[in-house]
Amino acid sequence: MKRSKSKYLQCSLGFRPRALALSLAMMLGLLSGNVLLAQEEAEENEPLRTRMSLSAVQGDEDMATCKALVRAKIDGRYTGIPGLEVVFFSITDSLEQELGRATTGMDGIASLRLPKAKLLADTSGAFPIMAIFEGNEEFGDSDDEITITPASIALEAMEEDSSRTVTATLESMGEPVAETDIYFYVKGLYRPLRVGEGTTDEEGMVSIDFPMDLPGGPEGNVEVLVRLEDDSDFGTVEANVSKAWGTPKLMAGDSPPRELWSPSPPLWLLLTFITLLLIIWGHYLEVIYKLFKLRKKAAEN
Amino acid sequence: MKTVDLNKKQTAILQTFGPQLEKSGTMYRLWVGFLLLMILFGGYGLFRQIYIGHVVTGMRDHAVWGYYIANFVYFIGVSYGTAMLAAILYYFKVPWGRPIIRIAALVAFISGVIGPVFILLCIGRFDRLHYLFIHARVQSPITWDVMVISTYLVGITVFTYLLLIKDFAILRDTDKFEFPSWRKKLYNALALRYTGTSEQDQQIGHSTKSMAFIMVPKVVLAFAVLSWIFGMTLRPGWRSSIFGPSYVIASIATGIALIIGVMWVYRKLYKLEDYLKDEHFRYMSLILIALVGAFGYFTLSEYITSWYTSMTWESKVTDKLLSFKEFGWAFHLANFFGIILPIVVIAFRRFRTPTIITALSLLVVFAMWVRRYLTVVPPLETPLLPIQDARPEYVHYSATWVEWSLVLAGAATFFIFFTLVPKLINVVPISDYEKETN
Amino acid sequence: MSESSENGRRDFLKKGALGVTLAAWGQLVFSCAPEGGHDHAAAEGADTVKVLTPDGQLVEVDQSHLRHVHHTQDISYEESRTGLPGRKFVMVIDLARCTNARKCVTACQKMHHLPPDKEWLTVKLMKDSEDSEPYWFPKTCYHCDNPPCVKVCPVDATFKRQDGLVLVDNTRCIGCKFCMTACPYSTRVFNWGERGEPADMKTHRANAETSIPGQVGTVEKCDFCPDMARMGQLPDCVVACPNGAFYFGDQNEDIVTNGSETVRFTELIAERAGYRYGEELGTEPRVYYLPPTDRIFPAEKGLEELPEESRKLYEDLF
Ligand code: SF4
Ligand code: SF4
Repeated sequence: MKRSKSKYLQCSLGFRPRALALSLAMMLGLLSGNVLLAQEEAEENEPLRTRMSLSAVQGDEDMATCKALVRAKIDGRYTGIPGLEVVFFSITDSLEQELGRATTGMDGIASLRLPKAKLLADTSGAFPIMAIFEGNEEFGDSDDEITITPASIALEAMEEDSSRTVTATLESMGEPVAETDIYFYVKGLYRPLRVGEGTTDEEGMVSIDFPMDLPGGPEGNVEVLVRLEDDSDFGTVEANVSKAWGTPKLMAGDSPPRELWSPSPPLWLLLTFITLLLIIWGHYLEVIYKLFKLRKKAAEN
Repeated sequence: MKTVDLNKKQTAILQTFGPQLEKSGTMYRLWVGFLLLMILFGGYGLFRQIYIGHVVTGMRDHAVWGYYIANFVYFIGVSYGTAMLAAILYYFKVPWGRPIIRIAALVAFISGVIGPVFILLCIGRFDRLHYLFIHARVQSPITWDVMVISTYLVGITVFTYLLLIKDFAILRDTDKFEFPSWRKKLYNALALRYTGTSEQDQQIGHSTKSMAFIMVPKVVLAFAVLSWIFGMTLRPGWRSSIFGPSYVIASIATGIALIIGVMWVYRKLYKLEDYLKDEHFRYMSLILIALVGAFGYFTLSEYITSWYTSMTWESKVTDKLLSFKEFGWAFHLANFFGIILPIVVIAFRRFRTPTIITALSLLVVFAMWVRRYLTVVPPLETPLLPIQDARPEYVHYSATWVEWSLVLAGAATFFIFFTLVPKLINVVPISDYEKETN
Repeated sequence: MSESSENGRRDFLKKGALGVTLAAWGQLVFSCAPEGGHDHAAAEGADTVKVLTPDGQLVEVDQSHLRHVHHTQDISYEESRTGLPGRKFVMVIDLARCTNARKCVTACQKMHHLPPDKEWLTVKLMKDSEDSEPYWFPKTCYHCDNPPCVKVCPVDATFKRQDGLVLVDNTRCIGCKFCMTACPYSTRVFNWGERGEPADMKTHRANAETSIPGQVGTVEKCDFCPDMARMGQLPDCVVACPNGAFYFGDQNEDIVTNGSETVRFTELIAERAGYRYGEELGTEPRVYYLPPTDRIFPAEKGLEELPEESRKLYEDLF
């Protein structure tokens, strides 16, 4: 593992044109005798140091998502850096394999979703994963690695006699996992809302009473999301199920309202408006028509 | 072809106007040149405003309306007021009203043209004006106003024209003056082959009368709609039920004051003492103080209630109007010169001379403009939430030279119109005296 | 922030004076942290910006790494007018948490390419009565359910969507400013002159959801970042607030979040006695306030963020 990482570091160093300028500057600095200061200045040209934190989410359908957050300290605050390419690897003692590449988004997170089957397992059955940002002219390289043990949550949501229960069962490699905290959420447009939590029993099970009055999304579906969060062994494990427990807000065939603030006016307003205009303009037309007749009559005379 | 016959009196009027219809002196030309320069200067200001944007004005994000809207409301109000006066005088055949109707209609016409120009000046995108029609929203008071103003403008134009037809025919038929041929052609076209038959007379009389009749509800509607542009917002100082009526009264008063001014100038210039008599001034001045008095009452009743009840937002505006640190001077002086002084002076019979009346009318004309400004700007400078802005121009409105140039150009247009009109037609209607000696 | 950039600049100049071999540094020679901090730097419009690292170093960073750009979504005109189906956006502002950090203001300006003196989002200092304590009051557009601004628009340029948002189509607006006088909350701002946004924004396809590019002679205002909502992202002010004062979400699904805490809207409003500003005006705002009780900081602290001349504005409130 160490070997492969340093290989990457080397190759990324080799492609850094700033390194050349840096040594040039140092030489010039030496010549002018300002060795120390020049070195201090030289440091300024270093790319910004970055930090990476890698995490993984094991989700439904045997899929996993690797998430690498790349941050740099800018103006005193760690800020996610968008637009950086991150490479993900699956690395065991004997094998290493590139899983794919992803670019960091606005929040500085690069995420890669893939079937768990593509991950290489070590002797204990766990998946060691590594992510590397090779660095560029502005941002220094960084990497992180984690090992996750495969796990999954089975989810059951039931409605009975005006009460709702959601039950989650956590298991890892065929065995139930006990004594683990599990959180229950409802998905929202932006962030999930926590609706309950509990610790798994001997059978890896935990259930909560689900609130009756959550309206759910636009279609009236309540998306229940269950999560084991940032576990040292499993990483994040989640599962979700969608239930038509809410109230739909999409009403088909709703004609837009006729209000003062809507595009179409209330009918009485429109009618009054048109009637008034018609009366007055009708009168004008009459007068103007008569004037023309006046002319014509005179001509006849 | 038959021509219009004139009686003695009519011939006399035509004679009086003769010189002025025929030629113009150096002073006259200088004056017209000066006015044209002012209009040109306004044109330059407008060019800057279109080219650079509204930054060149003093309007900013709180006082989004300023001189332009004040001027718009002022002129269009004057127009409505004078149109109403002309229509009423005509419809009820008020005996002393005859020589005044025409001047009133002309004032209505030109202010009705100048006013809307000012609302256009206040609009950010000239290139999108047609959206007002193709994307019109009936819920917006601006849409109502666009419709009402264009309708009104057609109405006042037709009405004014109807009042002039007979005189165009007289000028077409007279052989007393040497008109250049283009003017002859113009009179010919404008006179619509009117030859003075009783049938034609009846027809024109009927049309004019029905235009006058419908003018009154139309003007009431137009006044209402215009005051609703302000009244339909949540601003204190605008959203008061007396806003509309008080605006109507103030506008008619301003219109009368302006008519008095025009009458005085014409009377002096063209020696019309026989037609625009002292009594005309007296009658007009009495109407003026009645209206001004009503306006004073409305003002008092509007501000005393908001002062007495002292609702926070409302009284902020009232306090600004009363406080000498803000708009106090303008407000109190406008009320003194525009309301109290005219009433007190005209109350004395012996002060009711044309010159004094005219001087007071001029005061009213200015004072009412100030009051218009004070209805537009202080409520805008007094939003619900405090203005916490370090930029002084965002806190207090003050007009720039661009706005001044355009306001002056507006006034110049008014003057130039009244300077040019007597060149085209006699300001005292000849046709009205047809039954005088027959 | 401005203090640290001052120091950085002083350091830098000192070193320069010592005759360091600056020539080797190419573009770095002329670099000083501009006064006022990185916000201005980002607005300079070059491809790269200089940022100050915590150890006083100046680094050049590609602007696209720091500036979030509002991307015009490829949505149809109808979609931009009807909004996100089935949603009703709502905001809750916790006055107890606002310290006038002004991060929301600058974030908003940055994301919408507004010049520093144009604020779609303002923070006011309020004092309800003589003896009550002043408090900071962030004010967005309230996206009223009975919006007086929309009622009066003659050309349907400002409109209310089914998802509750009140937006301005700046390709339609004729600039009559009637909506500005109608809004009792002084929310709307006018483009009195050119907005002065970066050149690449000028070519953006106009879209009622972003007001980009800005158009001279038209009205604009806070839009609750509907383009971000389409991507499932929170408005910029919500994310930027270091104190989590803004909660935002969909009232239909009854969930609001300030980025780190996610709660039920109805519960939040009920527990903290949420209210709407100017309820008596009948505008029915979609923004709720939580009263400024149990504040962690005194209101005076908020003055620290302000430049000297702005502080004077608030003097008589303390
Ligand atoms: S806050 Fe003002 S601009 Fe926003 S919707 Fe309400 S009235 Fe309109
Ligand atoms: S300024 Fe624009 S958005 Fe506002 S009312 Fe006028 S046209 Fe409508």
